[in-house]
Order: sequence, then structure tokens, then C-alpha cells
Amino acid sequence: MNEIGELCILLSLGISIYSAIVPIIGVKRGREEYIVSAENSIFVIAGLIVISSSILTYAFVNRDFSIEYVANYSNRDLPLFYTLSAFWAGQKGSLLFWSLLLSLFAVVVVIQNKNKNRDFMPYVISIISVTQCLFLVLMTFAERPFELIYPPEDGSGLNPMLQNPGMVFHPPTLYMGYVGFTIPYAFAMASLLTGHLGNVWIKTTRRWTIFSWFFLSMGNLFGAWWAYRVLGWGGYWAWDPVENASFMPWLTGTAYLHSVMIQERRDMLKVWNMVLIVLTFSLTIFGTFLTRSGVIQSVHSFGQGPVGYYFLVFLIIIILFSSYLIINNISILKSNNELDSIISRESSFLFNNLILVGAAFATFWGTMFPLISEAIKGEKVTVGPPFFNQVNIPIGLALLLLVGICPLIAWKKASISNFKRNFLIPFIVSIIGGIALMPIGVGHLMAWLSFTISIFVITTIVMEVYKGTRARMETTGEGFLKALITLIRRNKRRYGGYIIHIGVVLMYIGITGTSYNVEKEATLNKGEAMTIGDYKLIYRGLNLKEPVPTKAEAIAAIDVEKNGKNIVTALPRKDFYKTSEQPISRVYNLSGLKEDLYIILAGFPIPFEKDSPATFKVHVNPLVKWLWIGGLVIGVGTFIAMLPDWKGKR
Amino acid sequence: MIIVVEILIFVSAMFFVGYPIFKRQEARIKTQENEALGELIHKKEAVYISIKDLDFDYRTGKLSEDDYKELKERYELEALHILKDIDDSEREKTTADKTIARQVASESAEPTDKDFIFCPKCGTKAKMGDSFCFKCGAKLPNLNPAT
Amino acid sequence: MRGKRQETNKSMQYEVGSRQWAVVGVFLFFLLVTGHWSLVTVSAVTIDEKYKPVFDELSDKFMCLCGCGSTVKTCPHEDCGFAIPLKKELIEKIQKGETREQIINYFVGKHGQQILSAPPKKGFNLTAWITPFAAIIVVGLLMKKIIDKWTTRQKTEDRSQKTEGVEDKYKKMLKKELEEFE
Repeated sequence: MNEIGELCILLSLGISIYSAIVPIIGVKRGREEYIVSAENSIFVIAGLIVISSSILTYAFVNRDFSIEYVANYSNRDLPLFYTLSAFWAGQKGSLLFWSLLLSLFAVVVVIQNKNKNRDFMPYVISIISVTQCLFLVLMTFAERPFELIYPPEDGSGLNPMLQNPGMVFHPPTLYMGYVGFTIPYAFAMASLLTGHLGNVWIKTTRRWTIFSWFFLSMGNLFGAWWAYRVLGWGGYWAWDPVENASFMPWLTGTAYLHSVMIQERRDMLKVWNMVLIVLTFSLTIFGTFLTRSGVIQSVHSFGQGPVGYYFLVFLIIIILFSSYLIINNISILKSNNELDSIISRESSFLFNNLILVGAAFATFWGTMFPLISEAIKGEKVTVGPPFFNQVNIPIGLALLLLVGICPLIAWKKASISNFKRNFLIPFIVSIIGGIALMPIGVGHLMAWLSFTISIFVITTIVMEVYKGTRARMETTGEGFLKALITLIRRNKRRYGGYIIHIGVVLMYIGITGTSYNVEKEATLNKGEAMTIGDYKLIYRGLNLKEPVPTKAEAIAAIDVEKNGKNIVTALPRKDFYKTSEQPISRVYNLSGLKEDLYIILAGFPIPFEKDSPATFKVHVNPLVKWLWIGGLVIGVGTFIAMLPDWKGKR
Repeated sequence: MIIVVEILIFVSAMFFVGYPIFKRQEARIKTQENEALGELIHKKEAVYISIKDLDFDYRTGKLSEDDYKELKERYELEALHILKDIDDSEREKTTADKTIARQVASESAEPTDKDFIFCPKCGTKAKMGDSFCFKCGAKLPNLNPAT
Repeated sequence: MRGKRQETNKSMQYEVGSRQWAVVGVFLFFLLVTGHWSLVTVSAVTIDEKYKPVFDELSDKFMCLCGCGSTVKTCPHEDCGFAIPLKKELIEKIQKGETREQIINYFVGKHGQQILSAPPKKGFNLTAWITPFAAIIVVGLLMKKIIDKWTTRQKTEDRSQKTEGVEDKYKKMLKKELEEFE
């Protein structure tokens, strides 16, 4: 079977090279059939990669350890769910997975544009194919997913850390975001290459951009969720270079989502939008380079190897190619920039872009500063989480404030008096809220600001929706609910966007809760208790269980009392795997809207003894749940924003 | 067995990729939109979005009445101009098409586009300077690109 | 050919199955009797409540150099060979009453600049802190200038258009299209 898998990859490489070159020749010679042939190639590549992915999946399910990748990332005891996710657990499989996504996205693009954008398609196909080539070259020459070994009796199993639902969803969602941005990028480049620099490429890729942005957001969020549940330090974001690498394209992608709205209305900022999409796409590749090159140590890396350098070369090519095209077209791209007033939604969007790109720059700067310092001063410094927190918190708060202010400002030209009037109610509400929050604000200025601004933002959004509904009721005479629904239905992007903003505010609230985290460590004898916050934890004993032959679980039982009432028996545990030297802590997390009680069984004496004294690390993390709820709300908002227009079909 | 499957995959892949080339694929019916017209339509949409925004912002109390009136007047005027331009270019196009049809009969057409010409018989787009239509083989009007 | 191979696979699986039990015995033996996972014998790093704020602050100022990329405070390894001894040393020093500067200087002297989780806000390292904000402010001011330019250009331009008359036909068309739009 593996031969077929290898053949499919090799064949798709050949066809990708073909479909990268042929459409260009087709355009140059005016031969439509070349372009059709390239489109067929896209289907064929997708078919081939689906076949090879299926073969790999089959090998995993069938426990075919003669394939090195299967032997390295699974074993006989691995549950089916995690066996399937082992597909993208390692370098080789994740390359294949990436390639699979790209090939499927390309098919969707070809189908979507069967009868439109015919001038762009040759270039779009070519650019997608070049990107596809990168992955196929890697899988053919450097990281062969179907490499054979002498079959061992059993595989070495999947890293227990990755046996968590968060890790099942984190890579695919993140990759979907990463890969998705290839499409707007390809269209942007096609518009530069054809010289058709209008808004067509932006309109065509609008849904793709939202789609990719959403999955990038979810990818990061799943990663955070995984880190929170598995890594067991009580937090979810460590400003690790690789986390930064996936945060940066998110920031620039967000900036892009907003600034295209100006181009759609005013036909300006063309250069800027090009720069943003190029930046976003390059940053996704940069992130991949960081993870795969091993230049930076991180929990996320795939180990060291030459693979990263392929990505570095590709990154350099992209940057040079895109900059050349932009500079080449700069005179046409320079549009008649004009604004009606400095106090307008347009200029507020420009400032939102400034802040978002500024945050991306700050993150990039912090990630790179150790290298800069070493180059200039020859001094090794560390830039760790405290730096990123201190720099990004003020920037983040400025951004949050803008989320609240922007909707209050009219497009074109806002009059100051109207702005003041609209500003008044949210301002008063947030001042009242701020005063009410004073007690928890002492010593936590930034947290207090964040909560107060969040109140402000929520109030403005609610008022916006309310006013829009009222306006509609007045003109059409509809009832409140009907007016609200039609309003949202007729402006899906606007209200989808507002819902996403609410999600973002909820995430801010969740993140701000970190300021009030409390943690405590204690070694307890059986029957002893410790207190933290409102909780009293009574250690009831330690037990050893063996659910499967290759895994033993040491489980501690803790009675949790809150304000004197027994609420639950917590069972934090430590798992010992035959395949792993390190035991893995399984956190017990009692999650509520107000706070999480997060208990880790940190240690106990070995040799194991029933009910021996044990050490616990306990965290009380307020408001964490709102981060995940915010993610859900963003999902709802994105769904609404992406709903198709039914009107045309009726 | 595996060899057979491999050959099968290889052959069918090659077939699908190569088929259009050998079949001399019919040029897909393209709505060969006049590029200038397309731009105008986009401009129109941009202005419409702007007018809608103005209405909405005014009704939700973000714009003062004076500004609203002034801006609305300006953007509606712009929209009217664009509508007129669209109308003109459409009319031009139809008249141009008619002239082509007429002139083609007398073997001297004027191209609508700088680099392309349409086959008088089947309507396939052909390159300026080609002598015969690659699809139906009809003779193409011989034109000097300079005109 | 495939069928034969699968058969051998099956018998292999069976064999492995029985052997696995033997392996498990060894595995549990390790856990129960020997110190194969000796690292698990972690005793809590405890500190007096009144020193806790200082401890939290300082332990976040030092980077854990075990390769985890976190600060000493948040190192995820419960048995970290770097963070835990450092924490214990830190507690000793705090309880001895040493000042923040003394403690920081001590650890910097011991492990070098890299131990600090963020570069100190002085000298060349100050650029690390200032650059992001400076960039935002400078670009922001520049943007304000550009926007000003764009708005004034608009004002001079728009007078020319007003006088022209447009046919009623287009006005009707506009009204109709606007109603249908979106």
C-alpha cells in the first residue's frame, strides 16, 4: 500500500509543477485549453492526496508498523480517536495534512470560479500550485510519510501529552487558518499580475478571509485550552516564540479584515491592503519555519531538521516576489486617497490598523530582540512572558477602547456633537461600572481599566444594535423582534462583526482574570487539609489503578469544601506510561463562571504506597471560562457574517 | 496487484490532466465583461454602500442633519454620474457590437479590445494578428493593431 | 500475497499480546518498588503567607533555564531541576531579609543576564521596551498628517461637481437600485 501512497505524492508533485507553469503559458499564448488542463490538475492533485492520506489513515487504523511514521506515533493500545489524530502528530503527517487541506481548498476555489474571474484563475492556480510544490517536495525528498522500517512488534505510541481533545483539534484548526490565507494571497498576487487592481480580488476572497481568520482564532484558542488542561502550570499562554508566531498573523489578518472595508467603500488603501495580506501570508510561513527548524526551543517544535530551511527559502521567495509585484504596480495602486473628515469611521479604522500592526510588531520585536541584542552587544538576554505582558497590555487596552469607540463614529464624517451624544450613555455606564469595580481595582490598575473598558464596549454594541432596530421599526413599522432579525439578516457582516466583538470582549475579561490568579503548594498527609481562596481541600487518599496494560494511574482523592459546604470530590491524577519516561499530570479542573479551581497532583514518594503523603499544586483562576465562552461567541458571529445572501435566490 | 493499481492511478491522472489539451477544449462561454464597465459597476457598488452607510448612520444618530444632507447629495450625485457612465458605456458597447457585426460583413471590423478579436463566425476570442479562428477555422478579419 | 501477510500479522499480534503482560509486570514493578520515576517525590515549595507577594514577584522575574520557556514561577515541570532549587534558594534569601536588588544581583551573578525574564530597563536594553511604543507613536503621528492631507484634498475638489444637471431617468434608476441594494 505504501508504494501507492508514495506514487501519489510523487505524481502530485509532478502535476503541481505542471499546473504551476502551464496556466502561465496558457495566458501568454491565449490558449484556454491549457488553463482548463491546469484546473483539471487541481482536481487530480486533490484526488491523489486524498488517496495517499487515506492510505496513511488506513495504515494507522490497521496498525501497520512497517510504516515508520505509524510506528513512531501510535501503538496497539492507542484509542481510535487518538489514532486518527496521530495523523498530524508528527512532522511528516502534518505536512501531508497541510498538503491535503491546500489541495481541497484549491478545488473549492476552482469550482467557485468556474465562470468568473477567468483572468485571475491562471495565476491563482499557479500560485497555489507553487505553494503545494513546497510541501510535496518536502514529502518526496526530506520527510517521506510512507518511509518503511523493519516492522517493530509495537509502535512507540503517541506522546501522552498529545492524547487530549485539545491537541486533536488544535493542529487542524490552526492549519486550516494558515492554509486558508493562501487563497486571498493568491488572488492578491493574481490581481497584481493581471493589472486588474480593482476590488474584485477582495470581494472574491472575502469569505475565505473570514474563514481563515476564524480558524486561526480557533486554532490559537484550542492551543491555549490544551496548554491549560495539559501542561499543568495553571495558565494557557506563555508567549512562547511559536505561540507568538501564530499570534502575529492573527493580528495582521484582523487588521486586513478591517481595512478592506475601506477599500470596498472608497477605493483607497490598495497598497496597504496588499501589504497586509502579504504580511499575513508570510507570517504563517514564518510560523511554520519557527516550529520546524528547531532554531527556537519550544513545546511546539517538531524537532530539528532541514525542513525549516525549506520554509525559510520559500519565505524569502514570497517576500521578494510580492514586494517586486507591489513596487512594480505602485503607480497604479496609488489611488486618489481622500477622506471627508478626520473624525470618521475610515480614520478610526486606520488607527485600529495601526494598533493591530503595532501589536504584531511589538510581538515580533520581542521575539527577535535576543538575536538583535546578541548581534549588536554580544550579550545574551532573555525576553520572556513578563516583557510581552507589559508591552502588549497597554496596546491591547488601546485596541479594546477602539472596539468601543469605532461603532460610535459615522462613516465619512462624524459630527462632534452627535459623537458626544452617543458617547454619553456608554461613558456614564462604564464610569458607574468602574466605580463599582474600584474595590477589586486597587493594586490592579490595568485589570480595572480592562474591565471598565469592557463595560464600555458592551454598552456601545448593545446600544448600536438597539438603535439600528429602532430605526428600522420607525421606517418599516415592524415589531422589535422582526426588525432585529431583518436588520441582522440584511447586514450580516456588520452584526456578525459586532457579535465577534462581543466575543473578543469576553475573551479580554477572561484574560484579565489572570491578574487575580492565586496559587498554593502543599504536601499533605492523609486527612490533612489546605485552604485557598474560599476553598478548603481535604486530602482523602491516594490510589493506583491500571485501566490498560501500558498505563498506570495514581489518583488522589480530595474533598473540596467551599464556604464550609462539601461540593465535590476532586480526583487529580498522575499517569505513568510504559512508553514515556515522564509521568503526565492530569489536572482536575472545577470550572465555573466565576473561577476555576485547578488541582495538580504534583508528587508522592516512589516506591508507591497507598495513601502516602502527596504534594499538591492548587490554582484558583478567576474568569478563565469566559475566554472559552468568548471563543464560542466568535464562532456564532463568524457563522452569521459568513451566511450567504439568500436574497438573490428568492 | 499493486502495480496494476499504480498504473491505473497514473494513467487516469495523466488522462484527466492531458484531456483538455488534446480535445482542444471549447473556450468556455465567457461573459467577456468590458473591463472599464466592470470597474464602473464596482465603483457604483462602493457608492451605494456609502449611501447606505450614510442613511444608517443618520438614522442611528451619528451624523448631524447638515452633514447628512450635504454628504448624501454629494454621493448621490456621484452615483448618478456613474449610472450615466455605465449607461453610456453599455450603449457604446452595443453600438460597437453592431458596428462590428456590420463591418465584419465587409471584412473590416474594429476591435473592441486592444489585443483580442472575436471570430465573426463562432464568437471565439482570438489573438490579434491570427489569420484563422483556432476553433472553427473561419478566416479572421485582418486588422492592423494600430487602428 | 496480502492475505498471507495479514495472517502473520495476526499471529504476531497474539504473541505480542501475551508478551505485553510480562512487560506490564516489569512496568508496575518499577512503579511500586524501585525508583525509576524517582523524580515524582516532589515536596511542596512552601512559603510563609507574608512573603508570598515578594516571592511571586521575584520568581516571575527569573527565567527558568530548563528549556521550558517559562519563568521560574510558571515552569510547568513539577520536578524541574532548575526552577525548584532556585525557588528554594529564593525563599531562603527572602526570609533572610535580603532586598530585591540584592537577590536579583545575586542570581544574575550566578547565571548571567539570561536569567532575567525581561531585559532590564536601562542601557541598550531600554530599546527593547521603547521601540514598540515609539514606533506606534511615530507612525501614528505620520498617519494623522497623511489623513489631514487627504481631507484637505477632498475639500478643494468637491465644488466643481455640484452644478451639473443629471437626467431624471438616472435619478429614478438610482432610487430603485438603492432600495434593492443589500
